[in-house]
Amino acid sequence: MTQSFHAAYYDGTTSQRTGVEVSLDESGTLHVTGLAVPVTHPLASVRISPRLGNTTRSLRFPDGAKCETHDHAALEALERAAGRGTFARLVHTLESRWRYALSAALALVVIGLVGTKWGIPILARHIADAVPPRMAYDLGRGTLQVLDRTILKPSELDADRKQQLRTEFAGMARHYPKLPLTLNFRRGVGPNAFALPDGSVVVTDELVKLAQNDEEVLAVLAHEIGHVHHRHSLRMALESSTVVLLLSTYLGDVTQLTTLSASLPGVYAQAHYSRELETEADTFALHYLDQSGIPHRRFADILRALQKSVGGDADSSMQYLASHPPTTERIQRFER
Amino acid sequence: MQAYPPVVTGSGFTPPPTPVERELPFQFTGNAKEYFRIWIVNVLLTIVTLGVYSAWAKVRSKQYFYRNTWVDGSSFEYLADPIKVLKGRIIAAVALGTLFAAQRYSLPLYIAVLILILMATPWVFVKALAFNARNSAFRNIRFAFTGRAAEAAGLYLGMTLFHIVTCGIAYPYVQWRFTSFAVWRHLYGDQRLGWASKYGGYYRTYLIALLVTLPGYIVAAVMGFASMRGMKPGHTTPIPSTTLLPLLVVFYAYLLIPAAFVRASLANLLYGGLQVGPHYFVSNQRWGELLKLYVVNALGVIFSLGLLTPWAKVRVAAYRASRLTLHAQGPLYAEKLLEDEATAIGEGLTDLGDFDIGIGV
Repeated sequence: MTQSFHAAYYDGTTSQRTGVEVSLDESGTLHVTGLAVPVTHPLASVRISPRLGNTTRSLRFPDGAKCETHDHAALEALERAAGRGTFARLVHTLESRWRYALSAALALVVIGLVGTKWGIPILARHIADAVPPRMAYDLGRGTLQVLDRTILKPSELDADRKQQLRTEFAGMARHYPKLPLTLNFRRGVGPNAFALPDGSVVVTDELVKLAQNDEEVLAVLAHEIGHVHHRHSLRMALESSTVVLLLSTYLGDVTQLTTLSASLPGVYAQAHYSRELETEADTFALHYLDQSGIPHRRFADILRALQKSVGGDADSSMQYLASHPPTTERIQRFER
Repeated sequence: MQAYPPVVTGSGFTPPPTPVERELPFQFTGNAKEYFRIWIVNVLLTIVTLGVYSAWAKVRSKQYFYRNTWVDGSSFEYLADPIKVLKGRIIAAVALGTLFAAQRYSLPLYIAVLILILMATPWVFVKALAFNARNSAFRNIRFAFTGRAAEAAGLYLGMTLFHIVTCGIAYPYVQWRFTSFAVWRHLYGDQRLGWASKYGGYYRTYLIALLVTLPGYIVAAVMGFASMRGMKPGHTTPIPSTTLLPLLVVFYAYLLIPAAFVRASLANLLYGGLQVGPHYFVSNQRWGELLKLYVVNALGVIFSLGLLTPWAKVRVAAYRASRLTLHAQGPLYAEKLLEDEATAIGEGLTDLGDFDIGIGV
């Protein structure tokens, strides 16, 4: 007889607990003594629960009875004698050493940073490219319909003005025959312009009126065509939903309140993606302006006018949560 | 008068022993450092295996909390087979994937899948509770859940209707009914669980929370209105974020108070109303303590970018246990459910539908 250790015995039929001694003999049989009738089981028939931190471990016998013990050394010896639990021991080794835990934490931070900075955007770009045009069309149409019903109002620009801008827009669109571009006029959300997945570019009356000349409007439209060209609205949707999904998977179920706070990094990440996409669209606009001989400063001018019209909103205070890069920074790009 | 009760000898009569009430405190012995290492390895292996390890991670995590929760010298045990957890996750993922794909490509298919999922919900709910109960044990005696899908579906439909008809006034009652159903259909071995909490407690909880919340909403509305009036005329843009943000932060911070109150109060109603045979539980969580716990947890999780999540979980479990006591009348005795009884309530060994879908109750 070797390796005797103390354990609590539960027979599995009642919740009765009995203190017992367990030992293994040379022939590989476990002996449980201290019960009214001693019990023996071949070690091969006993299931040993995997080690988990310093929690109590159990030996489950074929008859449904169980022994629970804190004697980790004894159970590890039993596990080795039975020739099992290799995977469980490996996991426990990983879980029990600080150097592995800290390496894992480091790896996690690196995976998190690399994943949010490059992984998710690359994935989103590939998926967005694979989205069939028909689906993109439906998505865009649907979005515009919802906006029309809620916050957008029909344009009040006179027909000549619209026609003039449409002609100029058609001239731009000819450079991108693969994009199903359409120009839409609306009113009601302040000076603004945005692009939808189906190639709809929406510009508001307020923006048209704010512009000093048509070239400024065209510069904004070039930026929006950049969004369409790079499929930004789809990518944005994919990126945001991936971040939310991953965060809720890994940080979820702490408590509702804490989960709420755990979603903050997601807000940061989304704002970061949005700024990246804006910069990309700005680059696209820069190229277009170069091609068509429109001076860069037209875009800078309209940005400045926009900035002024929204009350000179301070760039600095909310930079990390802003959906656009700081306006002054964008203006500088177009004044170089 | 006699100073001692008479001792009857030889007549064959012994007075039944009066059970001595014992106050058995719950205790949580896990610690943040140990659980942090388990958690971080779980997360990393889950990522590396593209989610497959998440089933093992779940079992290990849950087992860690069960094994470290003690009462009367024994701890709980979580016995789920990770393969079955994985199976459940795959089924859930396929169902949701089908739903999303159908939503994009075909409306009739989408509606069909949606109806199918809605119809399966009570069944899945009951199965999940049963899976969890069957894999939870104390002193080698397992729990069981005997609720039936039909019963759950009836309750769900009835209560949803009631909820709608009363414009939400029935919400506390509806919540009480669901909890009541979940508790009463549980067994510990051959002992049915009971629940003494009444729906009045739920109404009291929500009423107090409402009274505490209202001034917050009024102040926020007044201030929001004032800041809107301060805007220059002709501006269609919403309130500048610089004005609104501090207001929102204060408002949400204030809402934490009723939120902590509701959670403490509901936890006390749930755990404090539990009975197993002659034994009953007392839970006295305090909203002030819970508020402090949540705020510190939230700050820790935010500033560590989520790395202190395991620390937060351990703190919540330790607090919950520290506020819970079992008042035992005599020994904690239960027997294993007999085999034929177990089969009768669908606890047989059929593998069909023996999977886990994460529903926390």
